[in-house]
Amino acid sequence: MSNKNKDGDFTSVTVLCYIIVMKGVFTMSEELISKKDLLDEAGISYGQLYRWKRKDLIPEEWFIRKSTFTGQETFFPKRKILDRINKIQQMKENLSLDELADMFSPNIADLLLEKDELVKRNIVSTTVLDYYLEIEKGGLTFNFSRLLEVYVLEKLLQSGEINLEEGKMLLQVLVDNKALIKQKKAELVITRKLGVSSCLLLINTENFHFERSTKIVAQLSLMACMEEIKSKLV
Amino acid sequence: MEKGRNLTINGSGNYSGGQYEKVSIRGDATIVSDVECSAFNIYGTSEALENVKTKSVKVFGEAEVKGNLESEEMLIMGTMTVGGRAALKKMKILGTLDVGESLSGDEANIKGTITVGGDVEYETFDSSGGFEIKGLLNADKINISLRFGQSFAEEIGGGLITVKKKSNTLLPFGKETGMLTAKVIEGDNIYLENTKADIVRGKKVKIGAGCQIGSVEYSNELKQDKNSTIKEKTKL
Repeated sequence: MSNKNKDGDFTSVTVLCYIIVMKGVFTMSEELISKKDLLDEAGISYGQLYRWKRKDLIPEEWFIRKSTFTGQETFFPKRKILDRINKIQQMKENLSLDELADMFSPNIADLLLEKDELVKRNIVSTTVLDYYLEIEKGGLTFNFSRLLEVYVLEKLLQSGEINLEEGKMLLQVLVDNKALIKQKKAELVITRKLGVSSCLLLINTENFHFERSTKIVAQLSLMACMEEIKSKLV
Repeated sequence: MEKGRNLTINGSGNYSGGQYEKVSIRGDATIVSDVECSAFNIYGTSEALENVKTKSVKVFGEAEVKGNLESEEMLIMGTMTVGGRAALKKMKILGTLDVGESLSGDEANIKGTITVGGDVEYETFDSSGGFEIKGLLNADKINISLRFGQSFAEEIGGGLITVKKKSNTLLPFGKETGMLTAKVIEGDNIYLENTKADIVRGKKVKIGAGCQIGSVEYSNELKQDKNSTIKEKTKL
């Protein structure tokens, strides 16, 4: 092997390390898009963007102000903002901006729903609801965290990914960590190894790995579940 | 709200908050806890140490709310200070309003002056008085007439932004005209006079007389008065 080739090998090794490091950085602070490019790409006007900001359809934290060589500019997390604008544009024909704002706001603490209402709105089936009440022993009025618990249970039981016993375990995890789930980006993972199942609640985690013999039975983002519930409520 | 008692204060003293139908203060009063009422009228001097929530506020004297203020309608002929946030759906300011944090609502009409520590968000923002906004002034329609003094906002953003100077017909002496200063102005349709700004971004931008602009970025058209300076022009 020639010297030159060796050098080449070396550079590629260094580059590889660099990419691995960068990847970690990237997932934390994802790709940004400037306001100008955003307006262009999404085909919206300044007026619309500012109106949506006023109506709290776009969270304040997404407006990232930076100074560039052309002066001050505002940037956005690219994937999130394009996704959000897409949703707004799809739904604004049927919903008012205020209704949309309620849907996107992560805090719907005042919401209370009766048991019958949940069945009627197709959020939960009667069977799962009864099973939930049997384990949880709560009242028939549901606030949002109980709604989320029963919805997650419904989702996993209906898809057949977990059995009733695992459902019980999962509920216990959700109930014990109510406060955490509401504020943070939480993810639920159910695993089985040699027939023994266990349930994990991950808070603000980017990635996780198990050894090979552990099987991930179900993995569910609770944030996504909340949004699904909200879209059913509107 | 159930039809409750009225709170009328003609002398001076400390009063507890609570739910009232109408609160009128002609003397000098301090309200020590949260107040909820359908009308809050101040003819004298008042101080609310916590939050005030009401349908209508009228201030002819001097009023201070240390916490947050929420009202459907608001008229200020005197002076008003809000320590926290103010949500005032329809407001008319002939006197002065001072807000510590943010100010939001639907319609703003300012003939006096406002000072805001945070952002201002309205659907329509009409000012022929003066303002000092430390955050972003965000409104669908922004109409600013500059009569006197210096108006300032860190950032201005919206759909239609019009800034015009207006000669002072009431005061014949002097040739004083108002001036607007902002770091960034962004909108779809922008017309500016007597404005100093670092950056102006928009679809259609017209720079009238008396402006000093650092850089203009526009996508459709740019017009410039010869009595204005623009250091840098970029068509996107």
